[in-house]
Amino acid sequence: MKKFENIPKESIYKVPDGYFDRLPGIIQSRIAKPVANEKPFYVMALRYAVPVLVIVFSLIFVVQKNTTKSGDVETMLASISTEALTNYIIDSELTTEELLDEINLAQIDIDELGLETSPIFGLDDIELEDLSNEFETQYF
Amino acid sequence: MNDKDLLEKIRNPETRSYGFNLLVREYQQRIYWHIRKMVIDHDDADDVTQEVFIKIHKAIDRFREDAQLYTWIYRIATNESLTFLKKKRRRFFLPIEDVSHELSKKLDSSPQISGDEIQIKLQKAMLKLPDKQRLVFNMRYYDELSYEDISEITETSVGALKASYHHAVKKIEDFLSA
Repeated sequence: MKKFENIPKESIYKVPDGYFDRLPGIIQSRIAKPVANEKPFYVMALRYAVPVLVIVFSLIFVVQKNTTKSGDVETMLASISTEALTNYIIDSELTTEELLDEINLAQIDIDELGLETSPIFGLDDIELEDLSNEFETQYF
Repeated sequence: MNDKDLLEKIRNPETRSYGFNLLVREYQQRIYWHIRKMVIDHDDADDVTQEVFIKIHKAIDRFREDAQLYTWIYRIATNESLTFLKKKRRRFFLPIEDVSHELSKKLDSSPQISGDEIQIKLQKAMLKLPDKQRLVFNMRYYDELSYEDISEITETSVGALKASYHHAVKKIEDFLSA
């Protein structure tokens, strides 16, 4: 016979008085009561999914708007014909210098345009006129 | 009332509540004590027992009667007990030894537990076993279920159960002899 089989089998555990009389009623009341926190899964999913989706779509909208803003100008210019642009510049009576003043040419742009960063770009109108007069004097 | 009649009453909407009440009264003690021997503490056993019967109520319409009702109920109670112990361990980041130690302390201090020294020692020895092995030991030694019934409840082979029980007995005896 095994050692522990000498030990009385009776349970050492006790329950509060009347526990088993009350238990069926407790269980029935839990079953009968609608569970306040139990909602269908899709309701819970919607509760969290909707705000997240709103935020995501808002972000997409904002990002798209900002991207479109800077792209818009280029798109607009691209849609205007070269002839129209040229006529506009001529009609506006802007001088070359005024145009160049408005443009911030980076070195890379200058290189691409084949422009030389010669001193002529630093000359004002009077100096340019003097140069052209000198040229005429010399060669004509 | 036999299980067949009980199920008929439960499945009839007019007598469902009455029938389920009968089921609870019929099985509450067996299920409670099965759970109590695993979780030790009365309040925990009370919680788990209530959860078991609520789950039974939700699932009873799907019970296929290919097993005995008692086996099915017992299986739910077994799974809930094991899940409870697993959650307890995870919640407090306790390894098995610490859970065993915590439950052991309840054996010494709980007002809902009283037994002589050797009986308490036996329970402490059982707490050293892994949960599933302790479960098998309880069902075989205390509940005196056949290996075939235990096999149906735990969905484990009879051979594995016999081996598990044999090892459990060895470990308990070593502990009691120490």
